[in-house]
Amino acid sequence: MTAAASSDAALIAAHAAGDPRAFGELVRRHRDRMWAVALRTLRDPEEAADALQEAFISAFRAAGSFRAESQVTTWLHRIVVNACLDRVRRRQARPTVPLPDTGPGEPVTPRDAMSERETRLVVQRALNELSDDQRVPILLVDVEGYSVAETAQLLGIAEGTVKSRCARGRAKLAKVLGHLRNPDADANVPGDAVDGRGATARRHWEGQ
Amino acid sequence: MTEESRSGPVGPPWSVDVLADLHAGALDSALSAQLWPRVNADPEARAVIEALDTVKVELGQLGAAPAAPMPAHLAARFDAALRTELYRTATAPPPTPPGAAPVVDLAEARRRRNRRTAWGVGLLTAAAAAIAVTVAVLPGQGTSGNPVAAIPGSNSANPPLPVDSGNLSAAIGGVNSQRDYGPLKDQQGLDKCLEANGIDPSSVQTLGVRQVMLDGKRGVFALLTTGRLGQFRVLIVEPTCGPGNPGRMVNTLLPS
Repeated sequence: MTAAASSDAALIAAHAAGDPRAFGELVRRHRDRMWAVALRTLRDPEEAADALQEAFISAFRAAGSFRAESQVTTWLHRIVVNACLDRVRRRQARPTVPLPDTGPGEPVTPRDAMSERETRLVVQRALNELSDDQRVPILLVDVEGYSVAETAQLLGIAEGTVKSRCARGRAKLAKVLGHLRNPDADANVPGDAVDGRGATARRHWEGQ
Repeated sequence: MTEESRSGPVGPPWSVDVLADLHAGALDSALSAQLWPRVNADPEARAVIEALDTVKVELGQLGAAPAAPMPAHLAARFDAALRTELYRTATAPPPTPPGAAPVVDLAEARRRRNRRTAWGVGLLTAAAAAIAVTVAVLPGQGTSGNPVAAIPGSNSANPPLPVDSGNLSAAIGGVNSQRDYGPLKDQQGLDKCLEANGIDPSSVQTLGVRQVMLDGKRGVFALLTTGRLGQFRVLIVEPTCGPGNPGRMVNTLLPS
């Protein structure tokens, strides 16, 4: 069987057994998909490329630890996400200029006038405007499909924190994307209130 | 604990925060059980929940969308880094036992990448520099015996590397990143030699060049990419290689 025809698991096994071509084939299969994950997580192409490189080199070296019961894509995905999260954490530790916040009056393009691709771009842009605290849990849960428990483990935070950060971020996105019928009717409705009073109440609920 | 003590009055007018928490399962189960029937009975609250559902669906579509390819310049950098890692590992036993996920030294990786990037970008201009470096060290051709300032990656002061034709892979580590063109003078000279051997220079990247003694016979060893990760072409030619004279001593793929 040629490398191109092998399953991912067979390629990992071949790589671990010393086949020098097997890993290259895995990279060829998954690079672009993993690139998308890295770019979504880190937003900066240069940084995403670095993280991807680290992740694949880590995967290359750690292939012996791969367990056949998990999917190669799942294993690889997690390595890439971890490499990206390491960078997010380091970035958070550095003083940065925050991304500009979108004001409450941000005009929203009528949804029905947009193509699917345009919609994705608008959603991606709105997501990118969230703080990393909200953006990353949402990315992991809603975009990448990790469970709340897995996300909590990846981020090293409580499950309740994941839920509340997702809640806060989704509320903000609902407003920015124009999904709320009457976003200004309630003093608690997004904007500052999302990170203010609501957060206090939420911390209480989470027992933090 | 009552609803009042948690978040103030819960109910119309609804706080989007509270509804988002309810929607995300961030409220405790008792409060959730209390709120859901009221939310479902209230069109205003229901509309907010539906808006949050829409957000979740749209976010899910981001993940399901076809991935745009990695930009070419970043992909080239990525492939070069992987290729280096693959061949480095192929020529040295892996230091890490299976089961332990090693931590990549980011600073070192970046330094390596920067070197590679500089090398890649500089290929077009390297020829001129290489002339200055290599001409001076060619036996019988140098204009002086003075040491020549080395360009990064060059190691032209090294003596010819002894190479055993039966164990070419052992020589890879000694050739990679070297820029010792010997009698071929520079990258242009090597390119002409590649053409004479039926290899399109624009389709390969030169990972290293070094003068060698192949089974005791003088030659120039070129380590080339093949377009496949983990695979390299080894071309060893006689010192006279050039247009119309392939002077081929070895032309093989590693692994074959």
